[in-house]
Amino acid sequence: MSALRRRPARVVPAVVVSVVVLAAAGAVLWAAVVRLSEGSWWPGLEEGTRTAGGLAWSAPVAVTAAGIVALAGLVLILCAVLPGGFNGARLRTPEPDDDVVRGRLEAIVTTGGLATLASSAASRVDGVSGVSSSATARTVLVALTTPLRETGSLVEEARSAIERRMEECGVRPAPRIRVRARTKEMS
Amino acid sequence: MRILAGALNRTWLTIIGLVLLVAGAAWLLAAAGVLAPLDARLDPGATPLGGVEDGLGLEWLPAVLIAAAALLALLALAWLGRQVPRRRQAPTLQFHRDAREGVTLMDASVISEAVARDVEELEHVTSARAVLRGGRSAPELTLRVVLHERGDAQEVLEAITGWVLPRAVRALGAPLADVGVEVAVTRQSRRREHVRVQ
Repeated sequence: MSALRRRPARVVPAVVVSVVVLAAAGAVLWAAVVRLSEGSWWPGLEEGTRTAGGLAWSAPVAVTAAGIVALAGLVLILCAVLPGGFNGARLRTPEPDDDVVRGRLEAIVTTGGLATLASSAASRVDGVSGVSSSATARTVLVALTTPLRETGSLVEEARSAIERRMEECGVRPAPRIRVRARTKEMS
Repeated sequence: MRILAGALNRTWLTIIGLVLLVAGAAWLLAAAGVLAPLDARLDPGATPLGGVEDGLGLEWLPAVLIAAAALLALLALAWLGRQVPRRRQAPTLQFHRDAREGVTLMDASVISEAVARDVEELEHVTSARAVLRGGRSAPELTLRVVLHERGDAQEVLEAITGWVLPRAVRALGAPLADVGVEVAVTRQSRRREHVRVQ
């Protein structure tokens, strides 16, 4: 079975590169068909090849283009090699009977789900008037708004509530919880 | 739930990136004069694309360009097509042992939809989807469960393991090879539990 918990599939760079390649191939195809049907190359292409033919290795235009090409290559390699974050965190799973599941039972909670769980737990803490959360598989960031001037104990209380909620849901390993609180006067 | 072409993307991005990086870096090295001792044509003042305008006069060039560009366009289209997420749902399940004695077929979606309905019956589950992959003798089940924020993920997982999966196995007549459960959490309640008061 393909893993449920996975890293980004690099769809955006793949789509960008394939569209660029498709556009380049289409332009070459169109130029060659025009040459076959009309007997001469498109004037702009002839002009372009004449200019390119006169360029030395060290010509500023050529060096700039080579720099851009090398940079684009480096960006693509980084897109492919940098792993990116997981789409979710593992959950503790009950042991199924062998006659029900022969292989493994895997469960994850999505990073969006982690953020919602954290927001939900924090919003039930007395003194919290608003919550927004974001999460990766390892860290949950929670921003609270409160009318209280002193926020130290509120932050601790919210952190404990979120940690208890993560433990109840069986998130493994337990994510790091970072809570910030901002005082906002009630109008 | 859906499968993306992550490995294919990483492979092609690495190959294309390496080609571009090597080409660009080689040009920059030649421009800096580093490669000049190797060959006179690599001198910074040399014009590497000198004969390219004469090449346009070749009679066979348009045909070769058309073939190469068509091949490249097909490859790019195929790669683009692989970006569409795929379910890879199992084909029709075959329940018979010997086709000479009779044939029993069932669309895999019949079972996966029934499993999803079972999961939706569980408390605090807002919605569920199921995909059955592989053959009937070694089926793999993937579930996406949307849980209400007040729900207990462990309770739901225990109910899936203790009640939903055994029912699926009884229907399939074979134990599941692997099971994956993806839990999402929502703050919205199940639609059918809403009551509108006017």
